[in-house]
Amino acid sequence: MQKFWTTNNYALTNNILYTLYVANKYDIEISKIAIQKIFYLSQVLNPLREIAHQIVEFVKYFRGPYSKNVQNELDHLCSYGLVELVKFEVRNGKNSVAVYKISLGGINAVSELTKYSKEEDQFWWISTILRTCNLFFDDQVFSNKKNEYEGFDNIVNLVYQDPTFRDYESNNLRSLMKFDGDTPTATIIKNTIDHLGNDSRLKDLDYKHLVELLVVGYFNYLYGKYVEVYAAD
Amino acid sequence: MPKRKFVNVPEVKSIKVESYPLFNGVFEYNFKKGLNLFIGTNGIGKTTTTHLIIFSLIGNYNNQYGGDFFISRNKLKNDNTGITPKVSLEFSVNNIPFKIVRSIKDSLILHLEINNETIGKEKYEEVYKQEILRYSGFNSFDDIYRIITLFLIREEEGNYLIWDNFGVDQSKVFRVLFTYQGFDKDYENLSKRYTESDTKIRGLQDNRAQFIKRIERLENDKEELISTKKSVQTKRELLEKNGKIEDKILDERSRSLTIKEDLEFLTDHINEYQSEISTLNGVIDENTEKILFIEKDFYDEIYNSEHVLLSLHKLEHYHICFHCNNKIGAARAKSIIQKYRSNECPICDSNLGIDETNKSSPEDISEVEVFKSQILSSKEKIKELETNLESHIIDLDRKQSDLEKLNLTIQNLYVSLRENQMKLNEIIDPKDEVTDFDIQIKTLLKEVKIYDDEINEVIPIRRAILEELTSKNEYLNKSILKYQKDLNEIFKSFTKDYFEGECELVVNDKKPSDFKLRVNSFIPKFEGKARVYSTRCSTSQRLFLEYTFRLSLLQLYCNVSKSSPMLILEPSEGAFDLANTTFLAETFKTASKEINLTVIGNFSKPDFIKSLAKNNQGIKKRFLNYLNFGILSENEKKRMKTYRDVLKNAGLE
Repeated sequence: MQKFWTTNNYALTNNILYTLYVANKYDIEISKIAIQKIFYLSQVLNPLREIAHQIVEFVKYFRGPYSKNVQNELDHLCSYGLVELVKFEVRNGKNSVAVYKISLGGINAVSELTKYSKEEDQFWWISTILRTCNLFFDDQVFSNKKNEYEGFDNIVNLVYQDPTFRDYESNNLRSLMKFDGDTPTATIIKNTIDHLGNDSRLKDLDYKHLVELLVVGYFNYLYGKYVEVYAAD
Repeated sequence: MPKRKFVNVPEVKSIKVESYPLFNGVFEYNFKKGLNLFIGTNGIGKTTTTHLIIFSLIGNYNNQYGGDFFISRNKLKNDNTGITPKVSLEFSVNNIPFKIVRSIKDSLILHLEINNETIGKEKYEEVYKQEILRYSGFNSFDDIYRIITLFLIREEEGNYLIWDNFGVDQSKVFRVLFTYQGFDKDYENLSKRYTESDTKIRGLQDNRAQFIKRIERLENDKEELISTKKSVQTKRELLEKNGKIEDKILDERSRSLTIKEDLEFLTDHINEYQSEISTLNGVIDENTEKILFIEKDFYDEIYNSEHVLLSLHKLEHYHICFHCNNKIGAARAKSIIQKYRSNECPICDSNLGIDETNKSSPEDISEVEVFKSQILSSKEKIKELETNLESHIIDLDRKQSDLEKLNLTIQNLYVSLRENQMKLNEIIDPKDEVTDFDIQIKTLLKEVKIYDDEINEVIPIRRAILEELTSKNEYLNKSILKYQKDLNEIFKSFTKDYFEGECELVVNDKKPSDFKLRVNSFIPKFEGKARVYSTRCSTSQRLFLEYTFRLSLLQLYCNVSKSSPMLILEPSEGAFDLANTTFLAETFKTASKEINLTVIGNFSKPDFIKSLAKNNQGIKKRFLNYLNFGILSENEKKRMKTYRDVLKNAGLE
């Protein structure tokens, strides 16, 4: 086999493709900002799946958690044509807005990758995060004067409510964000799972449905927190 | 049995007193057989006369008449006439005539005749003593003195022989007069030797007791020292404590070894579990590696497939730029593709870093499940092992904690042991402290041993003496018993009309004070009662019994010894009533028919004098009238006529 392309972090590459694949499927215009936040959420919520494996490293950035690895890999995928840059704007002379879309090759790659159960499971996870996030997307709620984000980028407002991020934010920490161990988010998840463990109505649910339900519950929590902040403003 | 031979008591024949201021002129009297009667007023010199008789016989023996005995009575002390007052006494001993003249002032013998031979002046004392003892058979002057004073001469307020401290005096009289010559000497010697040996033993025992007391005191001091110091107790306690600590250390160390063995066992198992877990982790890592390898191949294959890398496919086969979709030349497209294939960036020519090492056919991704299964199995085993490991680690921790505590305990025990040892080192061995005591005690015990040896040496001697003395005493007691019948016969003849019913002498078997042995003595018994004490009798009874006992005893002695000593009595006739006074006088008269008796009286009881003189042939020749030579006071001189009338009335003048 002639190799033209390879990477040391296929998990990242795959997840980018999955994110763009699901966005494409559900007609979600997804920017480089949104991709970062989807990745952040997929990792900070990993305790829901009892997985603590960190694919990439994040730092607290001025637009929330940011991983340069995600952006580099996204650019790399673009260079090989697996992802297309469908929109690029520079706003205020500094910040750029880039919107990406999975290419046919990327779609084909996802089709092949998801044949492997591990990737299929990861695809489901990214899909769950993205779809749930999309459920809480409401222009009217997020359209206020102070909000600088548009469309799906408003996911940033939800991520800002994540207790792990808030913990770093309140402590003004600029170090690398660690998701293994007992993060505040993991603590909430654990307490929730413990609480629901005694609910007989949930016993018949399969694993993925239960996780999806918990993700919805968690986004509801983030959304509620954002609404509190918005109402206060 | 030695040949019976009684001592010979001196028989006084006459007395002559010259130049003695108590009397006027020369007083001389020749004693007669039977009754002699001395009558005088009180204080006229009657009793002195008896003392002069004794003095003549024994001189100032044993200082009996020393000092101013005679001087105080007659102002002799102030007599400066230069005339020597003297007393002359004639007596016989075993029919050997003695004549002795003594100076009353200094008791020196002035003249001595023995058996009608005048003794040389220079040998008076020596010859007199030697000869009188030789002829009399007495053991000593002391015996003569005692027989006279105890028995043969009784002053008005004199001693009682019949109640004599449970037979001490009677024993002496019987030993001297009623056994045989030398008996009393032997008896006294034995008594003396017994007393000496007994005294010696008691002295030794006293000394020994002193040493024993000192030993006891030293023992007490030693004990006190030991108890005061408490070092013995402390040392004993510390040693016991150390012993217990050492035992405890041994126990704890034994426990420690057991725990260490348990720890080794657990550590071995833990190491084993950890090794197994490590091995299983290796398996997991190995399988994970394989999975990653397969996955990488899988991903590489997917990403490098033509329907994925559509951009390169479009460039290679259709010569279309996948960035701008413009058509480029075939050569250029081929060149760009070639760069990709050469692992070079077509833009900057730098290495793309694509790993070409794995060019083999990609593995089937399904194999991943096999490895995953192995990983899962390993993880389950690890979980199981970790459970055991955790249990063992908990045990290990607990036992290590126990061991640490135990080691701390052992360490503390060693500290206690060291502290105790230091205390022990500070304690001076009490044995050292008591050594001085022990040395002293040992020395004293040696002394005690010496005394024991001496005592044990003397005890048999004392026992032998006592045995001999006991034998003598038994002989004496038997002798006394033997005389009881004869004595009672005489005694009853004197007392039969005086007492209502019979009065007899019974033997009293008592141990006198200071006597080791019991001796027989006579006591009166009348009205059915033996009178052990004189207080059990009336005064007159007591006096009458004493006089008659002496009369009886002397008569008995005269009977058995065939000698004729004289008894001099100065009765207390004033204590008797009228009838008994006469009876007393009659008794004396009766007794004097058998023995020589001198009765000394005064003018208190004219009837007594009268009774004595009545029907007494030749009484005037047996009568010594002190009024003739005694010195009377003025008052007495006024009563002279009365005295003379009494004597006249009695037929004595």
